[in-house]
Amino acid sequence: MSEMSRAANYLLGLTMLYYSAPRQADRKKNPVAWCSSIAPVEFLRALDVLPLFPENHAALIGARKMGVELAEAAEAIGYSNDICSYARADIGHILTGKSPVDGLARPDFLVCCNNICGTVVKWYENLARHFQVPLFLLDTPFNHEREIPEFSLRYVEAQLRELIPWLEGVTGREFDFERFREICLLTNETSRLWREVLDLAKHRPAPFTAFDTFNYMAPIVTMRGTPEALEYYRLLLEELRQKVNEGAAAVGAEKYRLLWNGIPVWFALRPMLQLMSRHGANLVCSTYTSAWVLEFDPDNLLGSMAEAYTAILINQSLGLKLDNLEKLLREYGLDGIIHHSNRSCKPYCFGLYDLSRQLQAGSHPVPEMIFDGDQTDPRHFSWAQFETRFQSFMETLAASSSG
Amino acid sequence: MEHVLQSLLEAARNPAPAIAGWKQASGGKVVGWLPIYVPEELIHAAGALPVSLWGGKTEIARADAHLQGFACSVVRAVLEYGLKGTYNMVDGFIFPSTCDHIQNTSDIWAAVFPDRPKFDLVYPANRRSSASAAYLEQLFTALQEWLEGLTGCRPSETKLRESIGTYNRYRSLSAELASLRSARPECLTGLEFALITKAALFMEKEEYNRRLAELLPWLANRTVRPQPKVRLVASGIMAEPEEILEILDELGGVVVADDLALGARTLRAPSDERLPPLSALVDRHLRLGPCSTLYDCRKERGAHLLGLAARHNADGVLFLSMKFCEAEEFDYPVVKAELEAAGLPHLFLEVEQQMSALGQVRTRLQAFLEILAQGPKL
Repeated sequence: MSEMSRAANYLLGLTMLYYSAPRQADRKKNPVAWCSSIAPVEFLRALDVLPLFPENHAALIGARKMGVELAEAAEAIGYSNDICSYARADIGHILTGKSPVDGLARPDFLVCCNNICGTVVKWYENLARHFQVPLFLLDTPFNHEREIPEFSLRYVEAQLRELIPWLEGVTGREFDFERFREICLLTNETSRLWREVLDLAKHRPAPFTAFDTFNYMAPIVTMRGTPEALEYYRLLLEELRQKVNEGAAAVGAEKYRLLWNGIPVWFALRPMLQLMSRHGANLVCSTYTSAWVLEFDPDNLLGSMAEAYTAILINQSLGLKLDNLEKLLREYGLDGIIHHSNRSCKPYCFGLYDLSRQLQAGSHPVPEMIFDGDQTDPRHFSWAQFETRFQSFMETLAASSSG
Repeated sequence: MEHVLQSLLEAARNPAPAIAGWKQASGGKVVGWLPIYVPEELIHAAGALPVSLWGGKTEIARADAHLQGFACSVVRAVLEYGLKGTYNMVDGFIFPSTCDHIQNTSDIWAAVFPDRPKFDLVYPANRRSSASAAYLEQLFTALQEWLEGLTGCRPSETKLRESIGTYNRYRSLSAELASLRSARPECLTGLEFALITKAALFMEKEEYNRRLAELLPWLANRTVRPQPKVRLVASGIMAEPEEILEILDELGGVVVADDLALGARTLRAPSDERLPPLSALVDRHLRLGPCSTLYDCRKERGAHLLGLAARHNADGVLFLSMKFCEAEEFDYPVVKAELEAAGLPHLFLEVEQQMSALGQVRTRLQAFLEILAQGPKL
């Protein structure tokens, strides 16, 4: 067995545990909660709650090409084809019981944080109605400014304080602040390692692709705040550092280093990777995977958590999104950007055209490509369009690098 | 009195001359705001004219360079109007955090018009936190400061109270009009009712109140059509394009009550005039609903629609689903199941402000009304 497969095997085990533990759990000891993708799970872990993430599961549904079937099941009861395909896939899985992993265990309660979109609020309202379970909404007001207003942070922090007695009420368990602190520190440490993993792609050639990171990211999303997630990133980092030392390249002759801006097209990862590799293009980083780098101040846990969970990039202004792109372009030595105009994720892609315009007018313009797609629903994606645009993008890159 | 009615219909259909006229006469500022909930009282008290921007029927050309086609027709139209200069008479813009579409269009707007004053009214989506009221109060204070910067006017508490009174009067007159529609639907066409409601979006409320107060007694004796064959509750963001209402009028279907954002949703919940002005506006916002865009873990909209139908003796519900409006599109399956369980028929119509081919809408409305006309009343 190679070094690589050790982390990969560990990840496989973790994933199985993540899905199976809630199914087998004694709900009195380990209640199960469904959570939006960047919700403050540290509170839940402190009460031995097992969180499940419908969005993550929907991504898997997409990757296993079950997106259309499950979306259609939701559409059959009146859900519009226009709404987020994660939501449709999740609701379809609830209605049909179909899933690549035997489905998500039934929730005892729900925790929704709108730092990623307003869609999750509506989605969770409907989940609460369907399962007849309590729902906590953590509202993290969108930030249109450079700095998050102080009164927003105070409001978010107040809700985090309210989450504690709410959780004690729904779980019948007592909140242990010391345990919570340990879990927050675990999140800090895991986030740090995750950041280090992502940063290894700064090496030329990059030892992995962003496609790999879409796989590596599962534990930081679903198991954040556990020793197991930390252990996984320790193993992964060790293996990837080894690769760097060996000078291993994910894409044979790395000619172009690209950034992915958006949620992956889960059902088309492999053909995209193959297409890019053929052109010597490596997708070395994405704006997506770094969303889960969360760090809290041990001396001001709740205040810093309020800020960390509000400061998720798609919850902030176009100006900050531009700053982030320019920072990544510099730090990773990138040659171009692929933007996913994703029909399912409005907050991620409304504003993309002006973001691109501003980038071109700024100090570090690079060639860009925008394509129309969807994260889970192939009915809203055309491979022919993607391939054509990618080829002309490659021509632009070739022209600009030779010029 | 016919001319008063006509003046309101004209104001709704062609608001620009009236707004320009107001601006010229008063020398005041015009503040445009996007749907759905904005404390207009604060704008009014600062001496500015609040104008509500709900898009409209315009061909989308320029906006496509900034916003994808899967944005809702309201924000696409607002952006289009902005780009083609329709809003040049508007001095400042307020973007509330109603939904992802409006929230993100606000950032696009800032990129396109960096020098046009804009305020982002980011509401607390969680209205049940102990901190919600304090947050809202800060937000409204920030809005007041922005308005002061724009108008140079910091209204006194008396002025604020007067504005709150004016708006309460506006809402109670609107409620009277709504009651009349249910009691004597023969007094107005559906389109006339919608346009009277819409005229308020562009007019100074004292003037609007005066005209509406004049109109109401006259309407109480007016008859423009026969007794309706079918009584309906309309639910959705708005009953637009107006051809839908024309078709409905033609087919003898009458909306006797509504749960429209551009309608009853914004006209509910008078402010409590006993409270200090800012607290009254905060308190009102915390009480609004049900509305697809206001978080509601109890999902009360279905029950609300059933209640409306029962109170107004309606035969069915017309669900006007604004295309690409997730808030409405997520509510629909839940509402649908509840209406079906209660045995109340409904018709789901997907609408867009820019839609032009309404042949299918007509066919579906006709079939729906025929079924309802035959069926027994609940």
